[in-house]
Amino acid sequence: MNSLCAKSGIQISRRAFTKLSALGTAAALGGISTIGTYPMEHLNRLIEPAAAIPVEEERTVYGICEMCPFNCGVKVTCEGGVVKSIEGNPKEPHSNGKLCARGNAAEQVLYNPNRVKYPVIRTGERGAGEWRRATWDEALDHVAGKLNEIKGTYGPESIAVIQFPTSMMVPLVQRFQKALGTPNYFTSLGNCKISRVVADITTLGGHILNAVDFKNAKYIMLFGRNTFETPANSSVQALSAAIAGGAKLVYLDPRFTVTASKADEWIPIKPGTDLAFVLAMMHVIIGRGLYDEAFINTYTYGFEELSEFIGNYTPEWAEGITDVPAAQIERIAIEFATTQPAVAHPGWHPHGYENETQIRRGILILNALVGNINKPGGIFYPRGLSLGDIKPPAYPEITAQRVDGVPGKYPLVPASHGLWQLLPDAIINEDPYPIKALIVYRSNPLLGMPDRNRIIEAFKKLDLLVVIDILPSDTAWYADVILPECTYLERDDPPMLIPGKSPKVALRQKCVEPMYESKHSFWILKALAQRMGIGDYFDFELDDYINAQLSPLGITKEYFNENAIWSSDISPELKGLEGMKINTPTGKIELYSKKLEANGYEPLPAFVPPKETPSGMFRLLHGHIAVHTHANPATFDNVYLNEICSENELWINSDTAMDLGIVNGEYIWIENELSKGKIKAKVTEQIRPDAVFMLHGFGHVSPGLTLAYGKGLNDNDFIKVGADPIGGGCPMGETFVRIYKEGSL
Amino acid sequence: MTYQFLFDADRCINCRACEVACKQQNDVETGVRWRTVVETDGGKYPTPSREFLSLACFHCSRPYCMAACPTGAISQRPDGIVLNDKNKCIGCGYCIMACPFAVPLFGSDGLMQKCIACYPRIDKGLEPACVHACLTSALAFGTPEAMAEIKRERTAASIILSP
Repeated sequence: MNSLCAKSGIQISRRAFTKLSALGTAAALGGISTIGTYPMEHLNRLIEPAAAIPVEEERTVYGICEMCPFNCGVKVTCEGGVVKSIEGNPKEPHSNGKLCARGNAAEQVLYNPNRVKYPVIRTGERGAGEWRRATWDEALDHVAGKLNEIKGTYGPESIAVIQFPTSMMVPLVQRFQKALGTPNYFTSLGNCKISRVVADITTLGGHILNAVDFKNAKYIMLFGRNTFETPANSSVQALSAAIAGGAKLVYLDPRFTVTASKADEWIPIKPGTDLAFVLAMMHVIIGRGLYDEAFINTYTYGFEELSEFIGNYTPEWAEGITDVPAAQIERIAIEFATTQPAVAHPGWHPHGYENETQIRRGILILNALVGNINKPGGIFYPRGLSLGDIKPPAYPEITAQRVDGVPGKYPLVPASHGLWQLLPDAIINEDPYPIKALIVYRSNPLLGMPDRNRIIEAFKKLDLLVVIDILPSDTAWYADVILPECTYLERDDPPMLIPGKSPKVALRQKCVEPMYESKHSFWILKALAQRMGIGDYFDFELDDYINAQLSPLGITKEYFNENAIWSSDISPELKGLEGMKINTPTGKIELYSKKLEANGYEPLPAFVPPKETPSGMFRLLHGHIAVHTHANPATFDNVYLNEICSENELWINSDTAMDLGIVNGEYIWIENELSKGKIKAKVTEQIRPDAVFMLHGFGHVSPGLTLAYGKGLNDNDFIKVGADPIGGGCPMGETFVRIYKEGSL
Repeated sequence: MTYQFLFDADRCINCRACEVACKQQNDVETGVRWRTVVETDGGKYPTPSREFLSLACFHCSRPYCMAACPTGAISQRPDGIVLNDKNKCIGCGYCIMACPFAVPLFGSDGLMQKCIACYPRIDKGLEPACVHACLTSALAFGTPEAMAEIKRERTAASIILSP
C-alpha cells in the first residue's frame, strides 16, 4: 500500500472557535508576529472577542467558493455569526450541488489562526519576518505615498500588478492598474494555460475555456489532462458519469494518475511527444478517409495544406518518438474517427514544452477532423453575455511597452494576462526599464513562478512590494506591506458570469462579518486610489458596481437573496456551427492558421521534439492532487487538507529506484543547476522509468504558514524560466534533475 | 427500517471530498478521521493498478463492538445506526479489537469515537455529509433494498454499456 502523500497536521475546530468566542476570554491579538511563527497553543490569543459575534438564527446564503480557480457555487449555512456548513449550490453548474475536498474545507481558511489580522509594515530585512502592526490609515498612507513617489521618479510603468486570474475582482484590479497608467499587469497564466489560449485563438477564433461535453461523449481522449485530480469540479462529475455510461476513456500520461486508473487504456507516452501521437492519428484518419468531409469543407480552412503536411507523420514514425506501437496508434485513430461522438480534451495546464501552442492546436484539429465541434459530446463554443460596467473617466495614456515583450516579441499573447515568468528578469536587469513597485493581489508568485532564487533576487531590487492576501503567503513574507483581505465567506463580490451551453450568472454574498481587521479588496483599492489622487475611478460603492454589472440582466443584487442563480433563456442545445461567427481571419476553423502565418510562425502544427534527457538525469514532471490548488496557501495551510496531504514525494519507477539503491520512504537528494533539496522517495510502478514526478505547490518558505511551512519541496525551484515562442507558456516540462541517495555521490 | 452505506470502487476517484465533508459536518479533531479513503496499489509497470476504498463504520446489523463493550456505551438505534456514548465509554479499546474493520478510533480524550452516519442529518431527512459530497456517486446510503437496487442497476449498465 502506498500513501497519497506524507501526512500530519493540527487543527483549530469550529467548535473550539465558537466556544472560545462565546466565553469572551480572548483578546483580539495575533497577526504577523515578530517571532515569525504562530504557536498553536496560543490559539486563544488569536480569537476575536465575543462582542463581534451577533446572535442570529440559522440562515442560508448562496455564494461562490474561492478555494481554487474553478469558482463553484456554494450554499452556506450560518448561525450565530459563524459558518456552520458549506455545500454545493445545486443550481450552479460548476458544482451541481457538490463540492470537492477543498470546497468542503473552506471554513478552515475562515477560522485559520494564521490569517493576517491587521496591516503590517516590514521593519527588518526583506524576508526576515520582522514586522510592526500598523493601522489601516498608516498602511494605506505608506503604500499610496510610496507608489506616488515611485510613479513620479520612474514613471507609472515602473509599477507592476499581479493578480490571480479567476477573481471576480479582475475588472476592478485592472481599473486600478489602468488608472495608475501602467501597462504591466500580469496573471499566473504564463505558468498555466496561456499557450492553450493562443492555440484556441489561432485555431477556433477564441478561447473556449473548459467547454468539453464529456457527459455525452462515447469516446474520450485525454492527453495528460488529469481530470480527476484537477479543480474542474463539473468536469470531474461529467467524466465520471460518461465512464459509468459506457464511454471509452483513452488516457495518455507518463504517470499512472487517478484518471489513468479509471481509463480503459493508459498509454505511458514518452513525455513531450503527444503531438507526434496526434499527427500520426491525423495521418491515419486522413489517409483512410475517415474524416468528416462535409464538416471539413464547410467549416474549416486549410485541409489541403494539412493533408499534404501530414504525409510523413506516419504511425511508424510516431512509434519511434512516442514509445507507443504504431498498431496501437492506428487502432486508436480508427476508433476515434468511427465512434461518435468522440472528443479529445485540448488540455489545460500541461507540463509545458517550447512547442506547446502547436501541441494544443494539434489536439483541436483532431476534434475538427471528426467534425465534433459544437455538437453534443464534443468541444464547443461556450455562450457568454455582456455584463454592465460603471464607465470610468478617461484613463491616462499608456506609452510604455510592457516589460515581458507582449505584444512586441509575443504578438499573440493576450496582454490581459501577460507572461509573468519573465517579470523577475525584467526587474533584475531593469530591461527595458526599472520596475520598482509590485502589487500582488492574492497570488503567490514566489511559489507559483519558476526559479525561486531569481524571484527573491528580483524582490530585493524592489522599492515596494505590497501583498493583499488572507494568509501570510510566501510572497507576503517578502513584502514591505501586507494588507489583510477577508475570505470569500466574509464578502460580496462582483457577479460571476458562467459561460456554457446556456450562460448563467452567480453572485458571491457575505455569510459572516469580516474577522479581525481584514477588509474587502475593493475597499483597499478604493482607499489607495483616493490617497493617490486617482479616486475618481472608484467614485462608487461595491454594491453600485454589482448592480451596474447586473443591469443588462434586468436584476439587482437583491435578486440573489432569494435565487441561487440567474439563468438566461438561451437554449443549451448544441446545434453545430451553422450561422455561427468564427473569429479567425478566414471565418472558419483554421487547420492552417493565417494568424500564425502572418506573424511569421509555422501555420501547421509541426512537430518539434522535446529536449533529450541528459545522461544520468531524469525528466521532472509535476502536477496536482485533488486536495490542493496551485501555490495557494488556502489549501496547503488548511488543517483538513494538510492532514490528508502535507508533504510531496518524488515518484520514482521501481526499476529506476533499484538501480539507484533508493528505498521507498527514504529522503533522497534531488538537484540540478538551479537548486538542490531533500525529498521523500515514493517508489512506484506508476511512472515511466525515465521520468520522476512531484506534486506542485509544496515547499512553502513562509513561517507564517505553520502547517505548510518547510514541508516538501517546490518543483518550481528546479524549473527554468522560458517561454513558448508562440503562446508564451513556460516550458516547465523541459526540466531535468539528478537524484541520489544520501552519501552515494 | 435499517440503513447501510453502499460504496462503488469503480467510481471512487480518491478525491477525499467525503473525508473532508465528514470533518466539516462533525467537527472531527485532527488526527482522527471517521471516514477515510484507503489506496491499494498493485501490478508492475506498465500495467499498474490503483484501487480506492472509502471506509467508515459499517453500522453492522450485529455490531461486534457493541457486544464487546463492557460498559454498555455502544448502542444501536432502531434504524441500525451504531453510536457510542462517551459518558459511559472508558476507552478500554475492546471495541477496536472486536471490530473486523478497525473502525473505532480514539481521540485526544482517549475515548472511542467513530462515524455516526450523520444521524442529525438523517433525522432531518438528509443524506450523510460524505454521501452528499461524493462527486461521483461512489457513496450511497439508505435501506438495504435501495442500496441493492443501485448496485443492480449499475451492474446491468456495466454489462450492457461497456466498450
